[in-house]
Amino acid sequence: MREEQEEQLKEAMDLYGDYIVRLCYTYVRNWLTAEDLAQETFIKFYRAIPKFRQQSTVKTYLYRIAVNVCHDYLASWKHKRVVITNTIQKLLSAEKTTEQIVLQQTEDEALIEAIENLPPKYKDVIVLYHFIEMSQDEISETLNLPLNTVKTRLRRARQKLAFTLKEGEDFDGPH
Amino acid sequence: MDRIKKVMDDAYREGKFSDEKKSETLVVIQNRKKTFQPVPVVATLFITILILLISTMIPPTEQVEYVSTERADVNLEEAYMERIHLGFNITTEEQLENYLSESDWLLQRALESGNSVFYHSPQLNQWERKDLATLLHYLYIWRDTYGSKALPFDTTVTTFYDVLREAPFYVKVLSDFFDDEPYMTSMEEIGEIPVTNFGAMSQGNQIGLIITIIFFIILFVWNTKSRVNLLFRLIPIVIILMCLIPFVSPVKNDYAYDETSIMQVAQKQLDLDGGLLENAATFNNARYGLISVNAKRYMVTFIEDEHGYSYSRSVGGSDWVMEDLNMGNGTMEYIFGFFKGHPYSKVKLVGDGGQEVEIHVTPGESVIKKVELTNDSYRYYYYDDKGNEIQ
Repeated sequence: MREEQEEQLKEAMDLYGDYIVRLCYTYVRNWLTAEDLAQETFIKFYRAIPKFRQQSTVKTYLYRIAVNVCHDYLASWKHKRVVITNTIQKLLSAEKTTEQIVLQQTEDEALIEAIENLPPKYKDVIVLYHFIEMSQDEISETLNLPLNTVKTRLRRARQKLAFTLKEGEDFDGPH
Repeated sequence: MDRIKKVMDDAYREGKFSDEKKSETLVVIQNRKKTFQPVPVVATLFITILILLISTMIPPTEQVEYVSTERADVNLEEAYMERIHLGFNITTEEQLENYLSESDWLLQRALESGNSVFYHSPQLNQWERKDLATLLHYLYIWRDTYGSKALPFDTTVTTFYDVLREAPFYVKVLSDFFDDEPYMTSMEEIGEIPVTNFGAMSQGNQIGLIITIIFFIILFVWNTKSRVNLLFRLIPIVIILMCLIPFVSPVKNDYAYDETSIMQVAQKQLDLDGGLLENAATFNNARYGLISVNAKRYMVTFIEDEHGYSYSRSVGGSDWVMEDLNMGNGTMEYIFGFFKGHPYSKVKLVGDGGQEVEIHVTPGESVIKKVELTNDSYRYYYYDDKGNEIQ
């Protein structure tokens, strides 16, 4: 039984490991932390395997855990302490002004910056829809939200991105 | 291709779940014990509540010290035998009233502690002390219940050591009659006194409080698992903390269980500096202490509740004071306290209905006397040792 669980875990890590790390990175913007959160996701997944009843796919189940792990991390004092430390370091170094940084950014970098700066509830849907390529139904299941809420959040998230980039582009999804 | 997808794929290409991390994850799951956050929280709170509950049952370890003396030179054996002879050999109503009008509570406490400042005690072991004190306790209840009816054992004892030898048997016989009124030592009385406000609550309120705490613990766990707003997670914690206050807040301790505690409570309640406990007595569900501080004199009254004798009130006077308790059934219990140096030898009470009662006391000696009378209006007449009325 335990060996079977470990096999399932290995398979999940091989199939989804990289994407889970990238998903986590969009929340925490630090690769080491993202990898730690991905590890936490897989540990929780491993513990949940006996309760997992195949009502959802492993993919949606894993991403649901990952999103929750990231939300918990963002709400934790550990994260807040890191943010405060980074802010102070930035203020002290202040080698480049924000304006200079923005001017040097390419459009793609600006888009990434805008996505990473979205509030978590909008980031959830944008990342899952565009990056992970989930359908709106899968996102609804993953985030445990009504489908209409998912649609509304996606629309507002795109509006926010467009407003931030001041381009007014319509970001159509792959589905 | 979706632009966002393309941009993100490019930007996050370097993101990999490394083989080292995968191996580390497998090691972690093999070694790591299951931890479920709400469980430690519930367990911690439960243990905290349990410890606090237990702490309410542990009596305070404060050492008892005695603060006053008027009778330190009185020999305990003589005082004890005087009381025993009085209680054993009652044949008339007058003897009965005389016996019941005085309390031997101070004598019981002196026997129990062995170092009373009221009585000089002989060398006795703790079992002998307890038996002798218990005998006084049951003897009073017997007389209060059965009046002058003969005691259910042979009472031909002449010396203190006769009683000492027979006391275990006497106690056993009498305790069969009054098994619902056991003798309580001062330490046992201390054990009944609540340490915290939780302990002072009625059982119903205690259960209610515990149920409330459990409810909010469950709510907190549920909120935590449901990831609800932080504010809603905090509300149960705040309520739980408020509910825990009675467990740690010390109760206002106004209980009298020995001479020292009587003085301590009186000093606190009457805002006294120092003071002398002249006498003390316990009659059924009330305890009294006569206290003098320079020219001021008081009788403090403690009424029995479910935890012990709790401070009720005090009355001030000069040579004497009086308290009354309504006993129901149309009878009143009058308690007279005479302070050291008083000039009286007799007090006569004359009721409007014609009932007359006389209380005899020794001039100059501090004493507490109890008289039970019908619920009537009485006039008091005081007499000196020559029989002259004092106006």
